[in-house]
Amino acid sequence: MATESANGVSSPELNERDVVITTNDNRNFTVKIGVARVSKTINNMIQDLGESLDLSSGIPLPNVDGPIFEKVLEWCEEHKNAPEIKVEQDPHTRERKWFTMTEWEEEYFRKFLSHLWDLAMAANYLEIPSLYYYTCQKLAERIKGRTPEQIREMFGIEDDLTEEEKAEIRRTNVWCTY
Amino acid sequence: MAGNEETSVHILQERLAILEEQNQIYLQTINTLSSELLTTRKRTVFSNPDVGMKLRKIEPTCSESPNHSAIFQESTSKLLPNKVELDAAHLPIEILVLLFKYLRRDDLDRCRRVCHQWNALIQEHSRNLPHRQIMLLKLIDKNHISLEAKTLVHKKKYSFSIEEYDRNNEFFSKLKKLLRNSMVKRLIICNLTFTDEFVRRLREAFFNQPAQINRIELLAVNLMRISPDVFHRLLGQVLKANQYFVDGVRGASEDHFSSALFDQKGVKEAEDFTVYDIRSVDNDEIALELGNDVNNEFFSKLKKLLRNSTVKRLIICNLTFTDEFVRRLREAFFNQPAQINRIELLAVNLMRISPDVFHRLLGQVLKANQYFVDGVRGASEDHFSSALFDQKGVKEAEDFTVYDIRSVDNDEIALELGNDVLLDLIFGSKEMPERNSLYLDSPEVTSSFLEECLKKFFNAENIDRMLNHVEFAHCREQNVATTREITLEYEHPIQIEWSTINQRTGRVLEARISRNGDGDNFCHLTLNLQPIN
Repeated sequence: MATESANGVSSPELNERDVVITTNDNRNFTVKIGVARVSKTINNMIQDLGESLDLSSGIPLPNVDGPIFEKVLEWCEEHKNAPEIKVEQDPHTRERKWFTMTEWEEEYFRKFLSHLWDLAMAANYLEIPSLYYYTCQKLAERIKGRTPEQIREMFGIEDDLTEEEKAEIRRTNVWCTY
Repeated sequence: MAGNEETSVHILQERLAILEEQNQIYLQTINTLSSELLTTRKRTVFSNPDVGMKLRKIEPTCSESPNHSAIFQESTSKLLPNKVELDAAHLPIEILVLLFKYLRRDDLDRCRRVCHQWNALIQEHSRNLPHRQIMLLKLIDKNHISLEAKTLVHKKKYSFSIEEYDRNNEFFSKLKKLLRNSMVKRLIICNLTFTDEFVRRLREAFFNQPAQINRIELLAVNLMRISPDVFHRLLGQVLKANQYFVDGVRGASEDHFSSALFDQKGVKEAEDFTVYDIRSVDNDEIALELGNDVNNEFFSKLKKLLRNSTVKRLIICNLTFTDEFVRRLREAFFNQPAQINRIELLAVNLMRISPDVFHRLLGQVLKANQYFVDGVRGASEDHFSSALFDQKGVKEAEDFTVYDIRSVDNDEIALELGNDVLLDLIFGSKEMPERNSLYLDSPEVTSSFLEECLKKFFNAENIDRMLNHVEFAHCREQNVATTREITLEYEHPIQIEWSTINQRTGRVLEARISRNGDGDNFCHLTLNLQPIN
């Protein structure tokens, strides 16, 4: 029973089985397949490997570290049965329609507020649309209404705009109010 | 020259050799990589098609084979061009662009001032990022020319002396800048004298506006110096809008408001077009020129009545329909915000209208929930052929009643609807909304129609969309054989009733024919679907 077959990848029994996922800091996570496949990247790997999938020796994730993956897993657990998200935008202004978050999701982001960038990157690599879009929306929420100085401070960004660039922004954008 | 060419060929050959060598290394790498790593690598490449994702902190995955991992890392980065190491000032592009889409334009304006990367990104992706919504843009000539733009948060106002304005440059360059990455909801142009040149520059400024203007108001503008043709294009193309409001125009000619104006796409498609008080250079009133027959006033009154109104019930009585009448009716009813509830055509004459246009009149121009047609004269069989029931409006109507149709020679006209068409109508279909009833006069059915209908009901898989009540007047005498499917309820010289039960749902359909006792070969057929008890 060392090698488990992963054929019939959509079967409910398979979702209940465990798979070991190894992050780039060599931490092993034992995860239910039904939870792991919220990530399309992991799901694809499970499907591609098919027969040769060795559930006990696991799947390596070279681009995600343990502490972040732990947070991502929390999301996957909560969203394992969630429907696909629908991305919509205002036809006139092109503004993306904001998702309404559940109490759980709000709390999740409150908890990991200082890791939004890492979460977005991990969600992008792991292809978890819900986490990816929601995190980007959260980042936008943090930027909304803030001054450039506040944004820089919040994200630790250096002001590397040259005087010419600043003058150019002022000159070309009549709506710029400074 | 030949020497130059040789050198470049030489350089290319050298490059090719290097590439081949690299390729060889990669192939070796691939061969020596373990199967898990291979899969991971493949996945890494496929999951980043847009290259926006920046890899970060790539560290050896397998501690036992650090060499492979090092090569793996290199090959991965080669396969991902644009790879930028992430540090505090350089955030991943894909994530930034996505989060920018959640911001308003004035937030984006502030974001441009955060750092070089953000500024460059916002400019590069500007067309796909949210636009500024200008709630109101005003171009006004009042002592001096002013340009005023309001968003929900900002207000910009510029004034130009007549001399400055005549040079035009500054006025229009400001306008262009205001419109950059913006869309206009409402535009007011007040007191200006239009010229062809003005329109040309306006077009330049409004070119590539991301969305159509919602409402345009031209107030007290002067058309003395603009050609009718250019004026038409101004409204219909340059400043296309959902609603037009034109009031107090001076210096107009009749050509400015001729029917050619209504040939313009923008004007034709507008949900609202209002024009008041147009005067010529000599202060004469100018009427909207929309054709010149006697009907003009009738239809212009009708149009005015219908403006911003909805009609619940429409009765057309005693009129003779023509194709032209329908065309004008369509104009008047065009863009009615809601469907008419009930239409009654009483004693109308179809002598001068083609069947095709008549079908469109009922099915499209005057789409309604309920149709009642009684006492039609001058009809041909084609007017009431099954093509009429192909019309969306008629097919979807909840009620369609037709009585007493006669030809020019006063012959009765039968509805050219055979058993099949009528059975389809009665049993409904998924494409059709729920309809309640159907009343028809003289349908063209065979004597076995009722029997077919009852048998079909007995076996029907789905009767969800079935009509509750159907009546055919002047229906051909029906022969119904009592079988295990059909029960004879009672029989009387002037009335017979049958019933049958749908096997799947247990619902009951009652059918009754009544004879008037005149001895003619017609009966009155009634079908009643019993409600679920």
